[in-house]
Amino acid sequence: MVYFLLDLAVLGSITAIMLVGLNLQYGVTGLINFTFYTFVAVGAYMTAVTMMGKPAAVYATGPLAEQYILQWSLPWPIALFIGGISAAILGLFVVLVAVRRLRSDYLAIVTVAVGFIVYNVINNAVQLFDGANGLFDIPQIANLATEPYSLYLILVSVILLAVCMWVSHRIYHSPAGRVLRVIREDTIVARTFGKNVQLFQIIVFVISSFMAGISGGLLVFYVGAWSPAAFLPTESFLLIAALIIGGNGNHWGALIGSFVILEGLAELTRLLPNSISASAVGPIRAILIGVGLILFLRFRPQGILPESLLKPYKPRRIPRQAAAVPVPNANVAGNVPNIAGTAAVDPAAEEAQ
Amino acid sequence: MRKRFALTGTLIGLVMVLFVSACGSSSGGSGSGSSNSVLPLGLEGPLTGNRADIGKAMVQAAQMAVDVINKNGGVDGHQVKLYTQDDAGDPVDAVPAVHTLINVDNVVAIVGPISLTEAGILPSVDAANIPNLMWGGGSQFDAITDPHFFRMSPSDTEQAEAMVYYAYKQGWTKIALAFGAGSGSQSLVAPIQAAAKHLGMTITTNVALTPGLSNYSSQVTDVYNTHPQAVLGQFNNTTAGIFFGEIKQQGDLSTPFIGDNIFYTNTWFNAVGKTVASGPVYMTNSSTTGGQGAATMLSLMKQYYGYTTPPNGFEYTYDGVMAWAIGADEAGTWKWPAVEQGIVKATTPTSQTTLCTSYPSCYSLIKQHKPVKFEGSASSVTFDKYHNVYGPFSVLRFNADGSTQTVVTYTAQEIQAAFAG
Amino acid sequence: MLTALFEGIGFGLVAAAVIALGAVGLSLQLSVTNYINFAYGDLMALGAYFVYAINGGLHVNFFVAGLLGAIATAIVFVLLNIFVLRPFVRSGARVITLLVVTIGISFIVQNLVILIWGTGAYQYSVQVGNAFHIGPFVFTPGDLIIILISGGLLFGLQAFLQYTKLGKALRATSNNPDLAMSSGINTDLVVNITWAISGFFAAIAGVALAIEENNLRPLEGFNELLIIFSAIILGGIGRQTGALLGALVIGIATSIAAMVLPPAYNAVIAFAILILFLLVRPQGIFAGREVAD
Repeated sequence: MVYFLLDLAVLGSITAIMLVGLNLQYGVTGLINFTFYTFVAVGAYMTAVTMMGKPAAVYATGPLAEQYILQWSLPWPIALFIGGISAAILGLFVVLVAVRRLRSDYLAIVTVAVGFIVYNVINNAVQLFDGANGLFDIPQIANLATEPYSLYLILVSVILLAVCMWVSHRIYHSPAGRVLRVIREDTIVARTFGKNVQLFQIIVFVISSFMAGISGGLLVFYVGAWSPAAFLPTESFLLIAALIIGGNGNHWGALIGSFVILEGLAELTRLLPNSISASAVGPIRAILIGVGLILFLRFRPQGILPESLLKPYKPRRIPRQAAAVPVPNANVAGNVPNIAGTAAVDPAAEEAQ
Repeated sequence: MRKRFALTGTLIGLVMVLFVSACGSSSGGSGSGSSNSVLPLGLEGPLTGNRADIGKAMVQAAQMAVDVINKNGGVDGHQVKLYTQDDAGDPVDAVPAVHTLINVDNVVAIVGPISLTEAGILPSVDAANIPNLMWGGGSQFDAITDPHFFRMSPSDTEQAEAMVYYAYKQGWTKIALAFGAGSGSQSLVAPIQAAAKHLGMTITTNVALTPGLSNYSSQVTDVYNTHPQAVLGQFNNTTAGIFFGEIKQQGDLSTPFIGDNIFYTNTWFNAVGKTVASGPVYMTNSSTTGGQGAATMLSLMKQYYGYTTPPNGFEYTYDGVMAWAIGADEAGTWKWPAVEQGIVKATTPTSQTTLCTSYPSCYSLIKQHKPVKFEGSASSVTFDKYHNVYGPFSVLRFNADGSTQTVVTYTAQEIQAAFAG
Repeated sequence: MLTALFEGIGFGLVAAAVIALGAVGLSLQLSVTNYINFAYGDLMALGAYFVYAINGGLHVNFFVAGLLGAIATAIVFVLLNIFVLRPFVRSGARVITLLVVTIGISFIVQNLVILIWGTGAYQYSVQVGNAFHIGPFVFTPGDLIIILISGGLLFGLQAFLQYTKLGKALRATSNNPDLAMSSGINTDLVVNITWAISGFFAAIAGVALAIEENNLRPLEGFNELLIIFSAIILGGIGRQTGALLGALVIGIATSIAAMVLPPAYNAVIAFAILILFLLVRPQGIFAGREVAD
């Protein structure tokens, strides 16, 4: 039972990083991305090939050798970072291509198409990442037995998760975060306030893609192998479902989505008594998640942990002026409220929520 | 407002209930291994996802094998209980699956999975010191030195050599290749090219078929415009249905097609239809000497499930369970390392061993202290030094009613001799 | 070389006929409801499985089974609209939310199909016949029937939209729902009829696809969906003739490209073209309505 919980903790933390990233894109900024898991996969592959070194001798026999690019042997933190950067670069490319003037369903189609293209290219260009066979025998990042290794990975993942959540928190509660939420609601309004909508979208997408990348790297540390079988379109859908049920817009909701919905439900079904027809469990679970998603969207769209819990708007009290005659202030210009909506304005007055 | 809380509460409550019931239902005693009388056997396979049909066949085969074992005295006197875990054909899911089998169900051996997910679970199997009887063609396991590993299906290298050898013997020296772009199929291409080169044959073209496309008409044209004397190929059933449909439409069904054991399943037969299947389509399949092992399994399978041809994965899984059980009987224990030696001993033919193909006969011979050589259904289950099976190969053809006929059988020595040097 | 080119065009025509059926059904629904139904592909597959069940299980004549299956699918579409999608629209949901809902439906339908019929591949009992030459092209009788049925249905739809009162009401609603409502058109009914037509076409497209591929399997619709999207976007949203032309272009282009490029990259090229088109001329070859986000 302990081992089950260990697995749950590792996978849960890693998935939570993914969801925090997805939340930044979709929950906070409203960028629809139906292929988030492709970024995870890119991070996974790049981390692996910068860390694996040459293929193990037993797998390198003749024409059937495991082939992949780079074959570097960098220390794992650097490899992980490279994984994140690679995913971020792909994110940059996608968002530059897709974000201009496209209606939201076009953006959705483009992301799906990109996912499809990446999947196909990796599958067919075998010299890249060993095609459909995938990469395997990826070394552990610490020479420990199974249980201590899981604990070590939990430690690493939780630390990275904490960093990502801190970043997400800082972004959310900053003026930039406010702009992002306005962009989510209505890009035209944001533009009216003079905000460079595209720049904000690009930056957010790149940051969240980086998070996707490092979560992919962590997965590879845990599983020791990776192949196209691991990033089918359903994975991205499950992430979206988990985020929406957990709480869209709230990075704590991302945690709930990861541990309870994805890892909790998925791994729990492993413990169901064997009597239930094994091949029916998978489809039934998938249908339940789909139905759950639609029900939540209909009746509780804010998810289990709604965004309002983050209390982004703290009313500040303006100290009342006691004197009837206003004190002449040389810096009159500084007293004029700035319509462009920066932090100088009282948030309580600004947001008629 | 209240409705929303109620809904949220219900959902959370549901999760709790699942959790509690899960804790209650997970059996498995403390420590590894069996409680008094029951031996837990693990089966891991792709029960969901793209290869779910394989997973289903694996489960059915394992259940049938365990049932036969239990009805005939169990393993070394212990009844066997089967635990199945789904790895969805996904390396990420394979890890929790194997952890559950080993740490929650305390299994003493694992049958399956397939090559796709095997690499991910080997470390756990090694740490738990249990035998792992998997199947799958992946050539990456050709020279593996891990003693826990057993492979019940012939390596792709062998398959490739058998396919090329048959073409060569038929005088078809100009061949074309059409293989699926998935790993299981592409891994055959290089050994085929090497084998063809060795025998001085010409490969007219090598076309890769991306799985999941809805139309392969141009690929078919590519292949047949080079006028090969025979086409060698392997791809999944879906692709097969479309591909052969295109061939039929373009009128090229008369060119012989050589596939491998993947085609030797009833699902493939259904996917391509009987016209194609009973045409000049040949399949190489590892075989048993005289076919007794196969016959035993086939009659059991017909009795339990009514199939005439085994679905993909059925025979290898059956062989895996049997090899483990008989090996444990031979060793007198399920414990490591004795069980590994038992498995090898019970499947290695010597001048003193008696051939046995069914569980009851093998077990009774062992109880009489007679050395046995177990022969399986998909192959002779004779392991080489890397615990890979090797053995004779047959070339089969379907009849229109779904049964198969054996065209020719080559011994392992014959094939090896052809490619030696 | 030239014969291969013509053969390629021939294959492309058949592929285009199948794509067109799907594209037109989806385009019609999109123009009226203003959001894309991501579940369309899987619902196509569902329709094809319905036909398989009626034809194979109840032993009904194939074409009759086709009709019945298409009607059943149309009913499913209408039910989906009434019970799942319309409540969202009524409560003022954003387009993104509706997209996610349709993806959820796609997920559910896919897994329902797997649950009921398994992941194996099936075949229809009907035979497509042997290929023969018509001029420089190569067709089977099945191909020609598909092209004929496709053409007939599309033509019938155009006639319906042009000349019948209901058809005009549909076009009015797609153009400006509020104006249509205030003119006395029962927009709810119109929307439901649109879904029904979309469902009918989806089922026929699914069956045609399964025949063309000689193969019926759960994921056939989802894979085809992106190709249908390409066709719709190429032709311009909101225009059925555009969708038809888009289907022709995509069908023939991918078929010919497969002869030159490694066929594995076929679909990749198609989608790269799609993305390029979205960047350069998102309104399509024929400019349709550009609807505000």
